[in-house]
Amino acid sequence: MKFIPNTPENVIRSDGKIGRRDLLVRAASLSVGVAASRALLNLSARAADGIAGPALTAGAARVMRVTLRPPDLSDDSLIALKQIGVDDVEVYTFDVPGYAESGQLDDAQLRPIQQRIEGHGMRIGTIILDQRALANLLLGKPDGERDLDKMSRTIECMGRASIPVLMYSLLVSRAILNTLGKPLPGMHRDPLGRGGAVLSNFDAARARTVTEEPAGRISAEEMWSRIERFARRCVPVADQAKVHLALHPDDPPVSPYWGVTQVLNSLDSFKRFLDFAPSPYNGLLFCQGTIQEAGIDLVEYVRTFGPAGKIAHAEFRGVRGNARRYEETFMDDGDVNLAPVVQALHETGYTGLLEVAHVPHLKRDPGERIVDAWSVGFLKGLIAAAAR
Amino acid sequence: MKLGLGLYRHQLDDDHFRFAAQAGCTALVIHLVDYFHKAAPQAASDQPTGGLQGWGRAGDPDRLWSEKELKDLVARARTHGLTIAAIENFDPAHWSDVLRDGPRKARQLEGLKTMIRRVGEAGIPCIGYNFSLAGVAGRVRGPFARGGAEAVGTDGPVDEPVPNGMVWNMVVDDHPRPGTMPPCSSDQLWSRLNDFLSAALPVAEQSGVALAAHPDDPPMPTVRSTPRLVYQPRLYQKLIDLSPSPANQLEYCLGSLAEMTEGDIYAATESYSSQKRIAYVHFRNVRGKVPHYKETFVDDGEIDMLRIVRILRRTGYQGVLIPDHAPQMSCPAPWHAGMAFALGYMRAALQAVEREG
Repeated sequence: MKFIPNTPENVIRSDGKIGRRDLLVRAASLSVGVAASRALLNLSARAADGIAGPALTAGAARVMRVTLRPPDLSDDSLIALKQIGVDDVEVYTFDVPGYAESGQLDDAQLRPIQQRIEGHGMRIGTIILDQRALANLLLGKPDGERDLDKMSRTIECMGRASIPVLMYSLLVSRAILNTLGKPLPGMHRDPLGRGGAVLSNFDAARARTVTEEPAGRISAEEMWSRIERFARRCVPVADQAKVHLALHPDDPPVSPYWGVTQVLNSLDSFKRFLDFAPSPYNGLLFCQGTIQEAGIDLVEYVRTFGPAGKIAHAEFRGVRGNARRYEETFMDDGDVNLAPVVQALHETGYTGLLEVAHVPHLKRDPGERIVDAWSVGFLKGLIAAAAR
Repeated sequence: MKLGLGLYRHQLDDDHFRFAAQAGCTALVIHLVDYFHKAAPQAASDQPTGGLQGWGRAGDPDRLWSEKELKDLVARARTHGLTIAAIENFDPAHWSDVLRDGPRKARQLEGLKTMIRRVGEAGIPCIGYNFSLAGVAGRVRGPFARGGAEAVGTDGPVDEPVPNGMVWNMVVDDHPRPGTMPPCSSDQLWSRLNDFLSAALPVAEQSGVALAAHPDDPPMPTVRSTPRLVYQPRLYQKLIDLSPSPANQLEYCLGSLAEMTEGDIYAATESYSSQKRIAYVHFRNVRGKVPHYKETFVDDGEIDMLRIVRILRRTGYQGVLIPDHAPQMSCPAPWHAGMAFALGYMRAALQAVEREG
């Protein structure tokens, strides 16, 4: 992961690995999650079949489950997840050998990882696509077509492995971050949380002090055209492979950002995106944090996209503030009580994954086991409350 | 309702107070007894189990809790935004003869009353106690919880008599006469409890301190050939009926109650909460019943924990819930991660239920 810059948001741990938390700060917008089987109100029977691969249908209850990306895929880390009742593991494409070199998943390299995870009585619930995967397309470079080819191969590989959900984003900011090694404007980490916990935070005014535009100035029209190109090319592949695509919204949900007009940050924009390539496999990543920051009512979001089965994956964190200025808190400590949101997911038939997205950073918490355990417990508590 | 964390004596420091605050707690329940004192080494942080020799050596019988140490703890907790909701357990050194009806009983009762007054002076509203001869004895530890996480349970009854010099699963006398604890009937033990409550409750009431009884753990009719008091849910009523004093309260342990062979945990919770007798709640889950039960992760046992929270809310309970025990996670911070999981779950349960109609 040498390509990941050592910025305040992207701290490389002393062991040379990138902290999962830090990875997700960048990838958050990119975060991908699992959507599992669900009662698809408006979707065809074929689509409902497609959501649940063999690994999921084998005795898996059709209920919401919690997922997260472990600090690594060692047996110890998997066992620790198993103990707190996480059976659906999130895997980052870079966790798969060979991906760093080829930029696409490969059956022979994925299978041993999948088998080891399944050997622990777990499964790969979702894969997170690395955030430079579509950099050429997003930055308007000539190699865009090659990016789309590689992502298509990754989707097909997942389909053969019956991995149900691919999380991805179409964020120019992350393409810049991961290819040019520049820190995300306006993002910071400070000990603002209770008990001195370190919270990721964003300040739009601070972001505006960054005047360079590494990707040039990208208009809304140009952005939509790149997005549409992606959708028309990759959604049919996903449809064929029966892999649900989960698109992350803009993060941070401000525009312009770094010279780019960001367009995926409203209910209407998500509908427009879905209409480019109508398919049961063309879905959204409900990133509750960024949706809340964008000022969208969370329950309204769920009631808009949930009944049609358009939420392919959901991820949670606490948020205080809004797109102008916010900080990412413990899930119980943000501005919004998340219980009604999980309740709405339950009521609209969502039976996919709830992902622990960003977590506060505690001292003496190697691998973030403590704060992850707290967060998994929290989401499990909300699921239990919703299932009354 | 408030979320709390229970801390053992060796955990009463800023690091652990900070952890409680980070996890969303606003209250602490603290142990002043050092269960591990001069004991064989065991799990660094977790609840004590011990073998037939019990936990560690009891404290100094002549050194009562001082007002200063109590007030210092309250002040330090306050700097982290925490209150101390209760002190859990008397040191056997302070009440061994109250439990055994021994020669120092009158003197020890005076000591207990002194400490109750000091606890009240420090602004701590509750002392949890477990009126028991054998104490929390006869439990085993193993990879019993989900994913092989280490947890505690029982594996059959333990009848070996308690040797002289041991009370409440700790050593109070280094040079005891040979032999074992003299026999005691159930009625005799209830009578000793009544003596304790008669002496202590008026002082407690006057000091604004509730005395909260933990049920027997493990809840067997006898453990190590000594009788037990509250080993079925209905026996809590017998304890309540000993005194109408509002200071006569329960340290309501869901795990121990669920381990009992009779009764219904939901009906019991409804009843004792409606009677306003629950001082605070030990919120943990369990599989099985005595003499074969195992503690579990909070979401993985036989108790419907959300149903319990809803009953508590409906009956107007406004006190503290603590995860008294949690399985140890296989990671570099086994106690913290295990507790964090339980606290996250509880925080969500409280936030979800408090917005329900």
